[in-house]
Amino acid sequence: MPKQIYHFRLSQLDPQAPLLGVRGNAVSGSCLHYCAPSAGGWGIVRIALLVPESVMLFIAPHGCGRHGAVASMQLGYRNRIFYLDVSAADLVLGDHINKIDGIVDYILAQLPQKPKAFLICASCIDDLLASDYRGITARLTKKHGIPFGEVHMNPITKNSSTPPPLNVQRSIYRFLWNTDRARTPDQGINLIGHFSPVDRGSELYPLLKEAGFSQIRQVAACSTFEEFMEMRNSRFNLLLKQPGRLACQDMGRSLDIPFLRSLVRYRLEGIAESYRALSQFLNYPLNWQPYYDQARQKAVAHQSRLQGLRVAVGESVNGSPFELACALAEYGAEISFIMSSAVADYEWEYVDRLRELNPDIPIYTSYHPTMSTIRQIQEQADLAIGFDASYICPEAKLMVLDSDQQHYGFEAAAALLEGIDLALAENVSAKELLYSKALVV
Amino acid sequence: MRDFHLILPTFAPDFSGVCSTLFELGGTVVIHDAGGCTGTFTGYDEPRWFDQQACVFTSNLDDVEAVFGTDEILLNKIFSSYDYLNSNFIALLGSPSPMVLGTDYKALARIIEKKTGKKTLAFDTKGTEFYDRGVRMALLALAQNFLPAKRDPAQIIPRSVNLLGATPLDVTNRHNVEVVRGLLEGKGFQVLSVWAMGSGLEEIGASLRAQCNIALTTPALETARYLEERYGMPWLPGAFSGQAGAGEFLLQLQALLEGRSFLPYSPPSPKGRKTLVIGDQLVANGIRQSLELDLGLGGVDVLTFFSGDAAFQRPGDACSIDEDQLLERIRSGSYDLVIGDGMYRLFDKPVPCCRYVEIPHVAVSSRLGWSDPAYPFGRSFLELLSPGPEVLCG
Repeated sequence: MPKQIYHFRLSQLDPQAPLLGVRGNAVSGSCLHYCAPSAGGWGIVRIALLVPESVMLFIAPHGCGRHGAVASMQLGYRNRIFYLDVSAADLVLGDHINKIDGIVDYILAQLPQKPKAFLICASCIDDLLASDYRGITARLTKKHGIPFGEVHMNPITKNSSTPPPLNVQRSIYRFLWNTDRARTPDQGINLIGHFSPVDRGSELYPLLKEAGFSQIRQVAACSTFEEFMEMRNSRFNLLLKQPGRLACQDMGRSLDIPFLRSLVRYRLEGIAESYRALSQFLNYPLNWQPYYDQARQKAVAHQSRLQGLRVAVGESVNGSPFELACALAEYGAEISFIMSSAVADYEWEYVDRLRELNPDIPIYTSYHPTMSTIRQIQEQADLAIGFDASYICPEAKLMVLDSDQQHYGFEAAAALLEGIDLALAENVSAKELLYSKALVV
Repeated sequence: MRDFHLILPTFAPDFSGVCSTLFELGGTVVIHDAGGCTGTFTGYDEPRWFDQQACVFTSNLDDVEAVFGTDEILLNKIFSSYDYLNSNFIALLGSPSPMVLGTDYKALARIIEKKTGKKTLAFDTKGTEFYDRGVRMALLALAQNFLPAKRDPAQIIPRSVNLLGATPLDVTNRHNVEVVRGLLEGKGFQVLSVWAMGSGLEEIGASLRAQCNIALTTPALETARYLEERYGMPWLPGAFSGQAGAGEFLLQLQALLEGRSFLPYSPPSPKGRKTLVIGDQLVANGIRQSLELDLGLGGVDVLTFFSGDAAFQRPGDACSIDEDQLLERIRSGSYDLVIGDGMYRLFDKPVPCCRYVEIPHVAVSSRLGWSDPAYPFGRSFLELLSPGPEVLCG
């Protein structure tokens, strides 16, 4: 048993501190990584299949495809994904590449209807072999008359400038400009980066409609490929979550669609700030004040319930764990601990704010090897937000706040407060709920 | 089509087989990969992961490390983690990316062992082979590295056995292993160790005191043969399904330990439509034995997607099949009963023509089957078969 489970205090988190690893990593030096039971998210395959009416051929050693394959059966989209096992001999001879044409023909012959788009997904080894999937997809597009796109499930690039979560979003949105169709700019605006449609109760919809946008587009809300392709006609992109950043940059270059980073937040002042920035970006004064006032009233009403409530915040939450912790602290809660493996540039503002409130908040990293030796940490909490926080603090009530639901704006702050009430009143089995989500690493 | 999955998920890979075998033995297991392969094992091939601690890690390989071939990065990660962990041994496993790079796991293991003083095992797993190869490798490594050099006849305990080849990938959970143990103990046999569910490294290290070994699953065959060759330990392939089926095996075991010959039974002749059993070859053979002896059923064929041993194969059986071959068999109209993982029902569409008895095979159905309490051992197996295989569907 190690002398101490690896963690920092908030006061020790400093971008200049020599203890920190590369690019704000919360663990100093490299180490083996522990894959906690709570680890995982949507996964590259599931994200890529947000493209409506698409199917995917996954080409990799079967060990690489297994988690996505089982998850697809669990979540009901197995009929959209097909697996070609790559053997060691295939890799040496490049035979798996030679098989693609025949397999694609076979798949298209099996399907009751021709898909509107076809994704070819490769894994780490094809990166190492420099296999030309760009060329393959271009050729297949010509052959079959439907757009083929390449997707890469390659965690080997996680420390590069194009890690898988960002790269898959580029793959999705590449369909929008990698086409012969003309672009016809209209009064649309795109929401980019998230996986589920923004909650219908979000004030973002009426605010944008008021600003003159007749179409508010998001891939998760598109039911047809044609509807998805209309996204290329929008005038602006709003980046709601960081993984969509490169896709927005690409769309800026290829489709002349400028973007504004307007991330999911839970702090009322931060949300107000984001609407001010959005007003400036759109050159239209959005009337967000009434929603702010409403949210402020709700927060005040919840203050008595949150006062002294010990809350743990996981890294798996839908948003920044530091920003969320700030919001909760401002609403009156006591932050027991935070999970983080790296502090992003934009998060240092929240680290600084939290430090002023309580510099001793512990920061745990779920992947550190010492985490494999314990079932729970010494800190206690009444509520754990995120499966990762819940796993190491099993006595706390669980609130998930994951990507399966997308809240935004003041509605997100309200959903947070309501979600806390619900979570405190319920007794969910973290294990059952976790496995029902079919998360993949 | 070979190597193509239209219906089923891809199967548990070799590194999952090694990890599953070593899971309870107190080692530090390192999969040299970028993280996804380890996530496949921990999230989808290991039902014990949520509730039990085990030191299974990913080396978190990235592209820079891969391109420059800097093995020192991996070694330093292992050495630094070693400061935190107290392990019985270290195991280094491969995955597709380091395979492409030609990583020399044996050399790395030697370096690690020299520096740490801990027994370090190297497994050339690739992610391109199935779990049974991994289980096979891991069991053999246990036999080759953690047993005494010689077997002391004076220490052999009469009527004692070791069970070889128990992993959740084939037998789902500890309860099922305990059922098998109960069957043996009920007839006065003592189970000294189970490789590798429910026994620690110390018990496994004392395995040579057993009178014989029982190979519970196909991946255990190589180790059983190794132990026979190296230590003169006799062994049998296990068959624990049903009442008469399991009883027949226990009589055979009795005869072996008493040095008597044993006349195998004659399988009944097939009458009408047949039965198909799909799963690990030895487990499926045990099921076949119960169908023949408990129910008098003839015409039972055994199929497996994984490797099998020709010595335990009959005409009509097949190993290393693919989806097309299973589809052909199920839709042939030759079978009225199929016993195997529930996922195989997916082949019997649109109108089912067989009756199904579902027994999960975690190496196939992963977490979608591992909570299913059905298991193929003992009298409970016969209860799964009621109201009787003569009832047809469709």
